[in-house]
Amino acid sequence: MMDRTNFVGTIIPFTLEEGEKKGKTQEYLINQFMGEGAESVVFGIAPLDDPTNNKWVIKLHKTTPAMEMDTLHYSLRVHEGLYPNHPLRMSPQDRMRKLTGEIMRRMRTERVTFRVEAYSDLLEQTLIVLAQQFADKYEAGTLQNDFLKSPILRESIDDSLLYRIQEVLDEDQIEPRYRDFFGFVAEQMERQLPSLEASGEILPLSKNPLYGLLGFHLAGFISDKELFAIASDAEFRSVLKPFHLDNFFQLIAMLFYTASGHARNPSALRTAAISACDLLEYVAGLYGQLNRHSIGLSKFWKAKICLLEQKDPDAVSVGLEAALPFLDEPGSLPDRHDVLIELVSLYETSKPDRALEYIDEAQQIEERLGIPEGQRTREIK
Amino acid sequence: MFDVFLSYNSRDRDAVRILALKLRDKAVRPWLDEWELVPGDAWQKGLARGIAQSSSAAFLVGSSGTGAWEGAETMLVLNRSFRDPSYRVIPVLLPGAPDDAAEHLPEFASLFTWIDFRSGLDDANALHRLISGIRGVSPGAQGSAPIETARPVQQSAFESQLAAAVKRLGISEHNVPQAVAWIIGQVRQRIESDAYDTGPRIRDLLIAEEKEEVLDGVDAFFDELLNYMVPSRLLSTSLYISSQKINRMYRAYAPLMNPSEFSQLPGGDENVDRKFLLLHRYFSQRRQVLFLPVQLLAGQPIPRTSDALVYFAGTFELVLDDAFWSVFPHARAMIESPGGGELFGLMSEVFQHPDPLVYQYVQLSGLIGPGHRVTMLLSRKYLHIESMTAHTLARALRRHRMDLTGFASLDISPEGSPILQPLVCKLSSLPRFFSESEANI
Repeated sequence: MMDRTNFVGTIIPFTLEEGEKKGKTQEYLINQFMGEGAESVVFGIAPLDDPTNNKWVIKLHKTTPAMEMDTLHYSLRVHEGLYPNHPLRMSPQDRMRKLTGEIMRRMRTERVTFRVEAYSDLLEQTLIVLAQQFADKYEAGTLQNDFLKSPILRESIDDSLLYRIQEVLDEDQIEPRYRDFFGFVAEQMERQLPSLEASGEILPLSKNPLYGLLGFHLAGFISDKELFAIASDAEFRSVLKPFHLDNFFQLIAMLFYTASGHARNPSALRTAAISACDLLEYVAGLYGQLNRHSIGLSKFWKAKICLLEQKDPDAVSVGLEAALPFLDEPGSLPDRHDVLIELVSLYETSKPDRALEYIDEAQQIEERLGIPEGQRTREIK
Repeated sequence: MFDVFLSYNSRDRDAVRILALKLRDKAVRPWLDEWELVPGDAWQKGLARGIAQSSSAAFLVGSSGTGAWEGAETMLVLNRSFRDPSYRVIPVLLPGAPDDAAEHLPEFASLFTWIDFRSGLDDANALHRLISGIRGVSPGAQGSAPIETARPVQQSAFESQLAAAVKRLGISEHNVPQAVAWIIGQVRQRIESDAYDTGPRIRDLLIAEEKEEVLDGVDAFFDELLNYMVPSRLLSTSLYISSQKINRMYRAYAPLMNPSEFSQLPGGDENVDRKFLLLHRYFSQRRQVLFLPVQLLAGQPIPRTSDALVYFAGTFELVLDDAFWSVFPHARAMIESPGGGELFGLMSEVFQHPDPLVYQYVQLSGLIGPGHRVTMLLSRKYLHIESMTAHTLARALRRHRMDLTGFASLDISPEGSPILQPLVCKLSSLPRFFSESEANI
């Protein structure tokens, strides 16, 4: 958390709400700390060409990352001419080191799930999945105590989910018919979570460093550039294990399917999913040849997410085509097949020859994977 | 229209009939259920009509005790009296009423003066007093039963406690009756009303009292009485309201509430206030709301029960234990530094952190009345942070004390020390009614 007086001497981009400069975003100098309330902090600001002018004030909400961070936020910079001895004045390299240390500390001590809308949506989605998959069995008395080991829950159950379940129970936010069921789920989670996690039978996304890093990016703590810089930092890579990449891919799939359904804010989920694809591709690239499959997957799913937005079909086909060269290993064949099928449907009318070529390859993959002839993809009419 | 609504335990029906007839003989129109209820009419509706059509109510307690007092009827009568200061409520002891009858009445009923028929329903003096009460006139003014021959009216247990509490606040002996009368009168007038400027102020009344702090103490004490009796006062400016605890208690107790009076309310924040008030009413009716401010001031021992709501008013201090320092290791430097800017930021970090699991519970330690040390646990998610509370919480980080008032459930820790878990609590800007030295933590 930043000492409020340290903001004095920094430059902030701001859009005035009144006066002749209304609506225009431009940079201002924060030249005075004026006070702090329960929800916000007030500073005096001045135009850069008249830095002692105290004509305007700015109110920064305390929940904005810039207020919460120890490192100067990327949207701000020190006015080095007027404040040469400012405590936050440092080289970009020193700042990046400080920022990486801060984000790594936050990832260890905080649950970013509650800060990111897309992550919170996944939490809600997990509640629905739990009710759909297991509530009937619970009512019929046939639900086994090991239901938490179900593959569909493997990445989703953690202490944040347990907290949320207890919250909806305590706040009466749940339909009465599911109350007993979720009471049972909470009880089982309390009892089993530590051992399931220790044995590796569950792999909560929230324990994945990529999930944490992406979360702080989505919550506005770090820019795109900083996201990739931290991802390639030795400190971050020291906590990243190869299985984290496959595990992180599950986040992309979950965001995609939640965005395809009845989400509160599908665009937030799509944005998060695209950023996750970019991060996965970048990190997979750091591991070289070993992660061609992850690179191919991230390109493929990014294109799928763009397809959801139905905006730029050319960008989708370019993305899908770019995925193909990376999905060339035997283990990647099912995904390569799916990319080909997506491309066939895109090229059906615009590029029929290319479509035929891809359908032919898709059929060959189906044959290699042992799919019975009657169930294989048919020719385009 | 009727002059008096008669509320009684059905087992005392015979005595009540005789008394009703005596009243009718004296041209008083009593509302007695068996005379007035229309066959087939909804009982509840009929009662409500009877109460609405009467200008006073008599609570009759006989040999069968106070069974009927727990019903919705009691609340209807008290509600009417709260809203309408001219509506008179008269507790009546019938022949055979137990000596401790007063102990079983709703707290508020003990504010009123008793009419005692325990020596027999033929007691002309008591009948005269009852009729005077019903008509709202002084018993001495009618002359049929000279006041000087009347036996002294029994002082309620509440009044005795109140007198003792007022003395403890430092009011001079000769002013005690006046102060007690003032407090009772003001509570009655102001209940469920925010009309703070009605009637004389205690400092105008007790001119002889020179000590300003004593008068401040009476004001604070009076305020606590209102908080206790009108719990909705706490909801408007609360520091804390735990929907979790209220929902849990409501789920547990709603099935026991009278279904015609209390309906099952669904979840959601909008119903939390209502549920709290219903719970308060339910526990009040069963005398399970413990620690009336009078009792607090008298230093009544902390009960060993969890099946109750406890009213508390005390001075608390934030506990900064090992768990706190492990979560906020950098806080020490900020707390110890003389500047205030960083402290406010630390307050945000501690009490408004977006991760609910970072620092879930706030622990306070304090005294709720002379000598009663308690621990209080607040869930951080239910703290209401606005400008006043933010300032107080920031100061609390530097071990400044907070005056808090509210309702809580009470648990006893395995070590035997009491733990309060509030449903509702608010910051109090008034000085506590017990002295600072007693509140010394």
